[in-house]
Amino acid sequence: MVDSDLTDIFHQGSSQKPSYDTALPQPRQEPSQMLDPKALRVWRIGAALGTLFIWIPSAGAVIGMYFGDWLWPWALLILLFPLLITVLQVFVIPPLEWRRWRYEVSEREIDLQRGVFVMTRTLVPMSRVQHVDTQQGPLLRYYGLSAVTITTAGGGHEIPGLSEDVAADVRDRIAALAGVADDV
Amino acid sequence: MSDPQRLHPAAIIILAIRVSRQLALPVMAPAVFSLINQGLDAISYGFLLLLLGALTLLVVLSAGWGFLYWQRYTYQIIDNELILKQGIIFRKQRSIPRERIQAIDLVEGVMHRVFGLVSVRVQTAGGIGPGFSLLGISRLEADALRQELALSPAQVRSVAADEIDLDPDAEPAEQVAPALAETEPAPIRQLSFPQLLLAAATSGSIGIALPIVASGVSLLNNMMPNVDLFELGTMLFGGVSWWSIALFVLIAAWIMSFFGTILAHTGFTIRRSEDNLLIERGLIEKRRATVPLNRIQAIRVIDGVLRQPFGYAMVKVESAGYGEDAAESSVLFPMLPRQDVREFLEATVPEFAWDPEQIERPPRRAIRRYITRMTLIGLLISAIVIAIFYPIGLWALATLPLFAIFGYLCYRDAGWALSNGMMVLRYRSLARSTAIIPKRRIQSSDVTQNILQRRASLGNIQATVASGVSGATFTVMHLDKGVADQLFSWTGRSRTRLDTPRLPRQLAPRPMVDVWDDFDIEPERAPGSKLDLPGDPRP
Repeated sequence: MVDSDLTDIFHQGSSQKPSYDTALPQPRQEPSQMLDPKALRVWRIGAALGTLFIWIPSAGAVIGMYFGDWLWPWALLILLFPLLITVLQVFVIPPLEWRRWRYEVSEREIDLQRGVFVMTRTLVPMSRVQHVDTQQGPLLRYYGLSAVTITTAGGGHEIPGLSEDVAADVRDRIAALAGVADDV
Repeated sequence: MSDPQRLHPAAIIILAIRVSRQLALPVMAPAVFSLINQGLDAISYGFLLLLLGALTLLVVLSAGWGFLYWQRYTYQIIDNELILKQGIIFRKQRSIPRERIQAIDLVEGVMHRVFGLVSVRVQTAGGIGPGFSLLGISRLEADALRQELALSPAQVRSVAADEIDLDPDAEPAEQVAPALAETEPAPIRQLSFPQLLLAAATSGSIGIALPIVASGVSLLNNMMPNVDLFELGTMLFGGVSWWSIALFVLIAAWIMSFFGTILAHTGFTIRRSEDNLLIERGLIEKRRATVPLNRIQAIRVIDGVLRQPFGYAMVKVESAGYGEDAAESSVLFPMLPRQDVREFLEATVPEFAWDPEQIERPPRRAIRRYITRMTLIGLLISAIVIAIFYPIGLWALATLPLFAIFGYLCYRDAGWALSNGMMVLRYRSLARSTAIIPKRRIQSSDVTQNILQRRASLGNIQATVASGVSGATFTVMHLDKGVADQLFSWTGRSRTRLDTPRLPRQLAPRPMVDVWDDFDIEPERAPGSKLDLPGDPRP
């Protein structure tokens, strides 16, 4: 079937542009749904906790310097670095990330959009979904949020930070649709 | 079975045994250390107390963890979905559509036998390994579950395991191979001896052998601190330089990869019987692999760096299946004249018999990015070489033009083609790969754009298929963003936008805010970035 469709394409002169028997569809519109606003706060807290891994060694180095050779330009530099990271990780990046994050669950696929420096769109056909989870750690639970994880044979995809109700709704919807959706 | 069910209480013991194995080392560490440090003298009253304390802690922690895990873990079936709740600190609820469940394995370990339990391992679509498992329920409950899931007894497989606390998520040891045909079908293709020699000589595994040999030489140098390799070389060959050592390493690596390929691929034969491909190969150890055709997710034609000049290619298969078995069957044919590829695919995997000569390439404005990327990689490698072998390593900088040329080759070979339900992605990492992917096998697709690409309105397209236990992803970089978006759209199932999901109002769509507006970066619109392709306009 494939062959007969293609013979005319690939036996044409190379000067001719190939014609496609499957016309390229229009680009998809952006996914419509956004994450819960509280997700931003959770991300910030998480990022702040993460920066402790830089703050503690830097603080240790500065204290060590205080008792050893005190060179204030170095001390300043050592403290400026974690400060810069903190500003980026806690204050600059999370809001950008939150505004970029979109998702949409339609009848036949799941469409995700995310990423500040590398923007990524992901499309997961409903018929490929093997199972779908909601999960929450202590931080998400405190804010009444939950993350939805979608697993296919090719790997996992996550929608982070939805309110518990929405997450449960999204999970049940995907599970129901995935059970119905069959191959193309 | 709409009420949540717990595991059998005896599962607490199995769980506790499992966790105690993981906890044993950290908890017992103080006692073990003092024993190592002080020998038998360490055995004193205090030591015994410490040991007793550690043991008690171990038992309490494992039992407590086992109980909490058991208490939190429930499964139930509601509306054709298997629902699983678990997690002590991190809570998780998992839904598996019944239609996705292909079979269940009943796994029985030694401890299971003691209590008359089984672990249930659920297998989902694509032949992919166990998605999850219920650790320890009674046989009766397992049978009730099977009936609820509407699986026939034939879809239940019993696996005996001799481990005490087997990990039910581990790969099964053996794969039930589909029954082989009684009579051997005629071979579709066999690797001839001259082709085997050429395959061995041009094998890509030299890349793996090279670091092994190099580290072997440096190890040799370190092991004999009194023997200077230079002096030894001078003694034996009357003179030695860095160049000759490098040459020696290269030749040794080549010999290694040569014989490695001979061992693996001698007598490579591929047959087809009904719905399976049978692959036989190996010089000393005869290996046989069976690849069910319906498990094949994608085909990759690889033009190796050393093989492309001779006009030969290798054909690989991405197939869904359990780990080792999938890895074993991944080479469909190691050495094939380029012009025979299509014919070969037609004979073996007709669904994939498409080897387009003509592909759509990335726009010209992508050339610069391909070249820059490779040059930067070259710079990085040079920097490492210079850092180690200063000053002679400065010669590494002379290779930069080669990296730039290679970058151009990456551009020249990249591209895509579409046909009815088929996508071809071609890219060069080192070797040139042509991935032939049926649309219905795509597990997910991505279009990505970093902030540098954004300026030139370029983007990457990625398609992921199932392969082995995880997936395989194919990427073509720096396509026109509009084209990448259209390809992305093509991988989708729906042509028109479907109903918006019924979700609470507070999450109603908002107008898209461009996060980069704040930074005042204008994407530079390249000429001709708007594509004129035949396409039905959306109604």
